[in-house]
Amino acid sequence: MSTILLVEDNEMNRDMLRRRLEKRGFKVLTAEDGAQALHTAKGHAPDLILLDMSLPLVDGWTAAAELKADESTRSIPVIALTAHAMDGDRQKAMSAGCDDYDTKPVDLQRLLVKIAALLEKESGQ
Amino acid sequence: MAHPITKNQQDLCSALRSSAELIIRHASELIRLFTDNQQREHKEDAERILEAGRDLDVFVTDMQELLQKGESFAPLRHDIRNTVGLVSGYAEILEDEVAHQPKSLAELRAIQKATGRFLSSLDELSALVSDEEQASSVDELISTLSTTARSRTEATLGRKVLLVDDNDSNRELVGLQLNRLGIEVAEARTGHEALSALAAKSIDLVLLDLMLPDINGYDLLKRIKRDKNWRHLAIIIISGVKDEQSALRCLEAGASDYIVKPVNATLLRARVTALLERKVWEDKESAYLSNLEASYDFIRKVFGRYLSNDVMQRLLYDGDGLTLGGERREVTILLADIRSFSVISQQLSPEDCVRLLNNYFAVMTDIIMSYQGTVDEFIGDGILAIFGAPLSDALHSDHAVACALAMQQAMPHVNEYNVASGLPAIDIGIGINTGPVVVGNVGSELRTKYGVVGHHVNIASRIESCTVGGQVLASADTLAKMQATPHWRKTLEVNVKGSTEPLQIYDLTGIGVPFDIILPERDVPMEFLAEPVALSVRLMQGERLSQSVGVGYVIALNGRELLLELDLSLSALEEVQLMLPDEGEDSLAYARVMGVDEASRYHVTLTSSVGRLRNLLEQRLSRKS
Repeated sequence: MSTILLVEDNEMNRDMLRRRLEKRGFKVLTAEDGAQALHTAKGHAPDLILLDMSLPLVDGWTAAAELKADESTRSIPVIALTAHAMDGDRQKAMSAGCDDYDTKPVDLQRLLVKIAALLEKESGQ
Repeated sequence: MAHPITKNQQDLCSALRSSAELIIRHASELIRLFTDNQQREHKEDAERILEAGRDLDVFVTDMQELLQKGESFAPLRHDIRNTVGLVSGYAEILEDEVAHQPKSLAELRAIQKATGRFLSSLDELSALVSDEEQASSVDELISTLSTTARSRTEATLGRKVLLVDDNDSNRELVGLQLNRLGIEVAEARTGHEALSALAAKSIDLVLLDLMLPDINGYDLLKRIKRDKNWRHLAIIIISGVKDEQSALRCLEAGASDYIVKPVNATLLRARVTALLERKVWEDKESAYLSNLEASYDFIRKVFGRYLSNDVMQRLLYDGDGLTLGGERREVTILLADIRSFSVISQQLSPEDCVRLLNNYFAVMTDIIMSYQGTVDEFIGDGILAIFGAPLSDALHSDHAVACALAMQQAMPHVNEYNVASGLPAIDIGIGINTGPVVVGNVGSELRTKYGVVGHHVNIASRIESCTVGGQVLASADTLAKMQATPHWRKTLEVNVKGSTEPLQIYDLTGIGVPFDIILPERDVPMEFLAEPVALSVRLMQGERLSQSVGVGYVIALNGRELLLELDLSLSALEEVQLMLPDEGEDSLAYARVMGVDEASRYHVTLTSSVGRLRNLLEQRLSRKS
């Protein structure tokens, strides 16, 4: 069973996405902001991180960059979640070191494909 | 810039509001059902949907206000989309859990449908309103990659629209309206004509009348959407009847829009423009992606295979990380060389030589990349790596020193491979220097490479030439820039061409936190004996001993390596028999000549790492200290 760290500041969104992922058989850890995300990622070594980009305190871009700069977390694949695909968010997410990118609202089927691809890549290495 | 809200925007806002109201209505009904069934947990989720539905309603009001003021609603977009996600997410969870309750399920399906409609109206509105913002950001991206960006006003100009309608006057009328937008119109009177027009021309958009003499318009729509070449084509359905079911069926089959006759010219123009603009974005995105691919190739060619993905990614996406052309910058230069490689290579077949180098280079390249260094060049058996360019790195000297120590640490692994593959063990020396150099693209049109030139590169090379196997030597300039604590065994002074002052260099053994690398004792370089130890030296000729016996003095040693002063003249690779005259035959050992230094001293390596001779010599060494 793979463990996903879900980083999302909106409580309802977090609860909703957590439950949907749990239904698909994932173990889900959650964090509310970038700082918590970094802490949990270091402490629990999740298999993958779903990172909302608009977070309070430490935003998603910074958190992604920090996750990718840290030796202990750099290999964890990160999927960035942002509100729109057309405003350069994709490039921004990639340059922050994210491994993939998806838009909100989350299309679970599409997201699961991306998650599976990254987990497979990770386990293949 | 302010644009007052248009009729079209107003219409879309109304559509958004009615979708939100539908969500609220169905969610309320759902709550009632769950209350009756005493399904408390499900009721809580339904309440969440209701709450999100109400939020959407408020957002629509906010949006309308912003649009009326001529302002962008982009800042709301994230929250709106999040809220839409809440509705569909909780609805999906519930759909799963109440699969056996038809009534609840019907409400949930209605909620999902309303959510889908809300989202597509939102997308349409975004496309209408925020094109300018999108244009600026995407254009910026595209222009950084120096592609020619197509401006938004060109969205309709020269685009091809296929008009499928059997009525001549309808075609003429719509055709005229489209012509005014600068659109090129292709016409088809039947379904079959439409299919051959699609096959023959590159069409950007199709306007499709549902009533055709041969193929039913709905079937034609499905046929187009099934074809993989045409699937992405935008299709606007034009229908004579205002029938919600039929419209829904067409939208589900993949139509982008549905317009009822008589066609309102303004509405038609707005929808056609919106769809063509969307196509421009799609085309731009694919152009952007292929451009990105091309730049990626370009950068790979220029930088060779020796940049880490990390650095590559930053170069590709961070405009400021990359300055092509010459630039003066402070960097740290690392030069590594295999000791006596010319001698070693003479013993090897060309294939083995390449095998040995490839393994060694692969291991070292990985290490250099992991310390954010860039392998600039392989020069014979040497490696030239730069730290602090092409991407700036405030810790370039720390990284270079840590990298060099890690490279020495990895040598036992390299040698394990060598020994296991029947190759000789090797030793490397590393020299490091820090200073301002010119970095940039150097070369001719046929071969360009990122390179580094300047006095400080020469100094690095001079430092490297002073090393013996296992050693890391760094200049005082490198140490001065370090933030971590360096550990060194001793300092040396060497003369450098072009400098009057001798250069102070440090024989490094480690670096403190955060790198925390300390070289093991076995990498201690040659240590000089307080008094040279006399040896009798006999040259081997194949299996036999030659008659000539010489006298040699061991003046320094490092494990198996001895530094000898000799009265014999030997050539590289020749094998000698050594003996301590006082100790007799017990001390017999064999060694191979690895090279001669400027002072005519011979470097020899004992062929076996165990033996009495070595023990005796090491005893002399410890007696000294």
